[in-house]
Amino acid sequence: MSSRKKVLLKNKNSDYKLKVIILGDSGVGKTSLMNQYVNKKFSASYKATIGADFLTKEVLVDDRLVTMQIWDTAGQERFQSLGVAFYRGADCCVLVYDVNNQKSFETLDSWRDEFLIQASPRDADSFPFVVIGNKIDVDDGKRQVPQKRAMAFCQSKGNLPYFETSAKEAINVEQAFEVIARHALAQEEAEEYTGDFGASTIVDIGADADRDGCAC
Amino acid sequence: MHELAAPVYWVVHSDAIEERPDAEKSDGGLTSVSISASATADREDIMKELLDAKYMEHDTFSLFQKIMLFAKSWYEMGHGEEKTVGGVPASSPIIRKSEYIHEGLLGVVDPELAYHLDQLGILPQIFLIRWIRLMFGREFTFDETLGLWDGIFVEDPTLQIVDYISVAMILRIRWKLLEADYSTALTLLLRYESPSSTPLTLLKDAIHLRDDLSTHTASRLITKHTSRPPNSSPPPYIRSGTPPPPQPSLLTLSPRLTGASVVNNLHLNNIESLMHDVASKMRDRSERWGVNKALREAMGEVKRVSAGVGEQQRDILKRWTDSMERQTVLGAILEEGIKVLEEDFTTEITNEKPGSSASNSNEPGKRRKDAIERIKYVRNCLLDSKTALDRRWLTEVPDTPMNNPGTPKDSLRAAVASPKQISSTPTSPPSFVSKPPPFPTYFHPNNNINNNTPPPPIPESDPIRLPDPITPQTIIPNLSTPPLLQQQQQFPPQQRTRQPLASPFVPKSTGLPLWKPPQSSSSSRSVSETPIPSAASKPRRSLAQSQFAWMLGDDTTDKNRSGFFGSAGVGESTSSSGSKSFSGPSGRRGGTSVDHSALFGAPGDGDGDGKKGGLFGNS
Repeated sequence: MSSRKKVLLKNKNSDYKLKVIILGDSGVGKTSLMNQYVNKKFSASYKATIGADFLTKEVLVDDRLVTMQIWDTAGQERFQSLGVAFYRGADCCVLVYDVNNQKSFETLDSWRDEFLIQASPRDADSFPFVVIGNKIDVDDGKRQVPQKRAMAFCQSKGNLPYFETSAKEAINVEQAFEVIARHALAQEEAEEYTGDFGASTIVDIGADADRDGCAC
Repeated sequence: MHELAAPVYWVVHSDAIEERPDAEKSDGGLTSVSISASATADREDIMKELLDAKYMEHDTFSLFQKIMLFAKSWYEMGHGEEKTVGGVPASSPIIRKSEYIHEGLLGVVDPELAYHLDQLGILPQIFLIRWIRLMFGREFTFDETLGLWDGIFVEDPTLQIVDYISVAMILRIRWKLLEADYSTALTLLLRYESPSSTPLTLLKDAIHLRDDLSTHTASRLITKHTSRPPNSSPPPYIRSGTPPPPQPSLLTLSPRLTGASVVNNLHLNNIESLMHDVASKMRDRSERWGVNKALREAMGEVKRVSAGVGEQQRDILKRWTDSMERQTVLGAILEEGIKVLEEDFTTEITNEKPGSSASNSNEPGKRRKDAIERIKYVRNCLLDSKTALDRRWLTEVPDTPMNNPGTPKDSLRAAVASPKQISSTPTSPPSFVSKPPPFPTYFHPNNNINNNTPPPPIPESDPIRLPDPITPQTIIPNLSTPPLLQQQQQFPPQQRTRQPLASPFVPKSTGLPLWKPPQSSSSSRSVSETPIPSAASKPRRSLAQSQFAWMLGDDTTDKNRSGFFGSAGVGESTSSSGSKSFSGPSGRRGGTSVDHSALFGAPGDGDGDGKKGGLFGNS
């Protein structure tokens, strides 16, 4: 089996598969950010994410083709509802808050802490987080979290990359995810993740060899 | 609004009737009709009240509450919510349910697919959380969901059927999943494509799976929907935590041929040979130390213990059958005693002639004493379980070796505590007892492993009746109504003892068999027909007869409409799956054995049976 997988790994299009998990309070725009980035679409109607959702996107990072598996999570959920296994093997964690919602900013720290407990990366201090302040399209008067404060927070947590975005207007979304991909790739390379998770990557659906291997 | 409440509200809203303040003006024609028939008007009033727009929110809340009785656990958190730091958090019920669906259901019916998803690293809760929590509300269109919900509520108000619907959904896309990699498989599951037929067919599949949870059913369903049969004999599913080691010699046949049993056998054999090796080496070495005796003893002990495991089971079975037999015999003895006393009592009342009673005074006295002795004996037996069972109290069994007329006193002495009572024991049993006790079939002496007694003939019209748990009043003969008594006696024992045996299955069987077409009746059918002890247990109409008949409209593949929720349907062989629903092992469907009759059952029932069964047991 393992030799077969190696052969397939050579044939596949992308070199790396990166697992990115988006966290944050409910209603801050996690799903919208993912949808804007992957599908270039925005929907004004709100539909709470139940459990988790998943989209993939292939991107080029320094001439290397990587597949980003972007996991959108439910803001109301506690970590327990998805199980520890869900968070394992993550390469980057995106913390999203709503710049017009003070509370969603204040909870970022606990989201981060919980994630580190659940995902238990080898080196918690160097694990890449990216912070996104979303909904900057809303009137300035309604803004509750000043940029300075958010940046100070990121500074204090180990110089986390910080972006202010609008999923609605597609402002800064692309840039944010490019940095996310870069950090995730660096993390993937550093971790040299050897689990089975990494081996089950892109396989041509029509690959007969693989199907025979499973079905017989 | 909660996504389980919103569709309910929508439906209640669509059904609601706005009460018009002044009916005379707006629809005078309608009222004139209703006035002519007051009964119709009454019914109309009821409907008006039932669908009153004023109570839309009240109704919605009540209905939502009833759904949540069983859906509650899908939203619950694990117990270790606060203890996550440093410890393994307790998984939430929804994760356990998801794992059960994956391993306990899908792993059983389609091990190959379950193994494949496991190998891909797809956590079942990722997609099942949404499927289940919203009862597939996001997987299908709104109209489709409403139809599916109608079916779910009709079929299983305890909502356990949702588990099987999930499995049916996974099976529909089996081939795509088997060919898919991680991302593709997740996309298939998270963005589930509505089946070409109505989602209600998924419910039908689910019912088949629930009735017969086997690879056979899954294979039939897969073949039916994809016209491509899966492997004929898939290997047993083993969780990827301990994947079977791929053995080169077996790879050509199947990568997962090493089933659990094979592994276990190998394991046992290894241990045995290992123990032998160790033992022989130790014996050589310890010969001069004089340890070998102790070692032999220890080895003997080990052997005894290992041999004892199988014996234990036999022992338990034997003890059970013994105690059951003991109970019956004691019951029969007691019944005889009571009967004598009763008879004497009634004859005394009816024949109040002093002369006749005096001439016969000796005989009734003896009989009475005898009866009292019987009752005392039973009491002794009940007080001390070690008291030997003596059937001579009961009857003369001519072909029983135990029944030696010459030694009743001796054995009675052992059995009965007081010697004074023994002296009054009659040497021969009363004449009205002439036949052996009727044994219920399930603890017939024949079935008893250690009982050498040949089976006594089962009396068809024996005056001794069994202590029937269902109809205890029949123990006491009612002389004033002999026809009724005879009627009772005409039942062969097997048929009567069937009832207590079958009763645990009754609640479970209330769901399906009610719609079973009569021609498919089997021996187990009678079980389903035992009255259900619930006020709300009127047989539900089949879907075809109900107002939901429209739901059947799309499904042209299913010819047997009356058996829609019954057994007919998948492929050609249908009748077998239907009867299995109650004759099958109860443990497998323990979780579903909730009182189906309570469509929106009483609050408080929810936590009991609904959860206790196999639902989370296997996780």
